[in-house]
Amino acid sequence: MIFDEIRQVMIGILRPYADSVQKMTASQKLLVNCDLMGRVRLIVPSRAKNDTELEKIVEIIAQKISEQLKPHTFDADRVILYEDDTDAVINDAPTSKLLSDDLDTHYDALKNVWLVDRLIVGGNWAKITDETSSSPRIVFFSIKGGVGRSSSLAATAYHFAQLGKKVMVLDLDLESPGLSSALLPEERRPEFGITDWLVEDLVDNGNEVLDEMVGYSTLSRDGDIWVIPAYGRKNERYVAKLGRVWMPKDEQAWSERLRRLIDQLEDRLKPDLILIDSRAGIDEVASACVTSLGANLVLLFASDSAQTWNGYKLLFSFWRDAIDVAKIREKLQMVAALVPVNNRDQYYSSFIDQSSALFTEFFYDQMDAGEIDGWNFDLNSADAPHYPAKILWHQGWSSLSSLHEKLVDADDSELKLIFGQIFEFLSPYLDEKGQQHV
Amino acid sequence: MNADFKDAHERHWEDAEHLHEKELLANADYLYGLSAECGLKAIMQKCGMKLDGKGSPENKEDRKHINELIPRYNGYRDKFTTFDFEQLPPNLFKDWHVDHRYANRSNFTAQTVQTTYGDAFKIYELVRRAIINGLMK
Ligand SMILES: Nc1ncnc2c1ncn2[C@@H]1O[C@H](COP(=O)(O)OP(=O)(O)OP(=O)(O)O)[C@@H](O)[C@H]1O
Ligand SMILES: [Mg+2]
Repeated sequence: MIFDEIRQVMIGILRPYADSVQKMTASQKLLVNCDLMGRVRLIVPSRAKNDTELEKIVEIIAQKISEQLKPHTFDADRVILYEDDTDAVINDAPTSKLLSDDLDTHYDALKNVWLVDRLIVGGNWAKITDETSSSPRIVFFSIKGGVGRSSSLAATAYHFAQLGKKVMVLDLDLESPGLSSALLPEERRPEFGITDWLVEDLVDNGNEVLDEMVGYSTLSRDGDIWVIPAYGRKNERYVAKLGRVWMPKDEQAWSERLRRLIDQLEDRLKPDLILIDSRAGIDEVASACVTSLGANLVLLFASDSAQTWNGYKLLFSFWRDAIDVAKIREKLQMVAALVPVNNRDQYYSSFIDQSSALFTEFFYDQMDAGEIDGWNFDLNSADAPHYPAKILWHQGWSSLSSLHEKLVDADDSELKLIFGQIFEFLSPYLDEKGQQHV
Repeated sequence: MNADFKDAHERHWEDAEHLHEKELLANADYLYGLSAECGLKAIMQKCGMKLDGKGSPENKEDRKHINELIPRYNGYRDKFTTFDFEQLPPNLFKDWHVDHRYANRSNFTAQTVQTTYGDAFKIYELVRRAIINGLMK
């Protein structure tokens, strides 16, 4: 029993009692209340309690809910809540009819039964997790969308797979997922995605979906690319699921839960490299990808625009207040995204001025004259995290209708030309891993 | 016996309602106050209040009756980011005191109990909402 099946199972349970349900709901809604953890309770108008016949039916329904919806519900004695005014308890939560209107009028008796979703956003994202000791985890992050983050990640996965490596790719851009379709044709999409696992995990049911959430990409001939998509083929009520993924469970913030998922997948697949597509923005989801997943390296995609630099300023000032900067700064690396064809040198020098100023303000140690110890880099030092790896804008990659097809006939020299600096930058992470295994 | 604040909240509430209905005002007033105390402690626990081995609050400041508990609740509530529990006005239960259980019944009027009931109902609703949202079983 998984979250997606709740609606269908509920309809099956209520249908035999349609007449009684109609009586209960003559003047008040009956609510199928799906709480923050994705567990169902029935909220019944109080008048049903005053009618022994109806009360008995409610008890039978509670029993069935408890039997058929576990783990997405409670023991029978906790399934029912009576309320005088069921409209009042909806309280602005997203609500839809249990039966959509286009269904057979045969079920008309259930027309006042509503599904209510208690959703949430938020979480604790100011904790940094120590990096992992096993496969390197590389996070691709950007402030703004559309900077070629997912394309670069896909190209990187492809490149290292061609070298015979096992690459695991996660699409954490849950709100606007795109990465998985770049690496997998739609028919290879697995049944479930990260969103499903995060929802099932709330009721300790993660294993139900774990085996069915990995897609295998056929792009690579020599290595492996495993794709863990944001959502799977079974994809009912995506918004209702999204509104629960940020829930903490037993004191574990959602990002720690996510880390647990990545640990489990890593344990099963034993990849050489883990690439994570974080979402764009400075919200907590994006930030947690950087701070909580045990990343070894975070690639910060940027274009040289005021909006981008202001965004990074906001993000970094938050980090400076909320976390131990020394723990994160060595994992950061700027990436100059979509570098324009013309006036490249001028573009770089402006970029470096901006990113150097940013890192100096937030991350570099202040050095007094004569001091030599300290974490600091010169403006033009190529080892500096502010000194960008470059990804070139290329006509052949702009406005692609299918990134997947582009990768199917990938031209290795073109890939190197555009993304080569990223490949080079990441190579040492794989070598270290290789040595550990010898 | 270990503390179970949520259950204690519910049973005190039910009994208070019975007594209120029968106009047994003095004890209704008393139990509304206890019900609110237990309900609020149950929520505070959800918001991070730690308990000792016996199930009472670790911090002495939290071992208070309802007339002194609201600021403690608001403090936990402010730090809890997962869910936006309502802030409570600090003047709830300002005329309620646990020692009133020793008082003569003639001190309790329908009016005083109505006020206590109104304040206790705010906490009853708070717990109810926590249950509906799945933060409490
Ligand atoms: N090197 C490149 N040169 C030119 N165009 C590119 C390049 N890389 C990606 N693009 C194009 O830029 C657009 C955005 O790319 P992509 O989806 O990879 O970015 P993104 O940062 O992941 O965006 P989002 O925030 O929407 O996920 C696409 O139309 C893509 O084809
Ligand atoms: Mg993308």
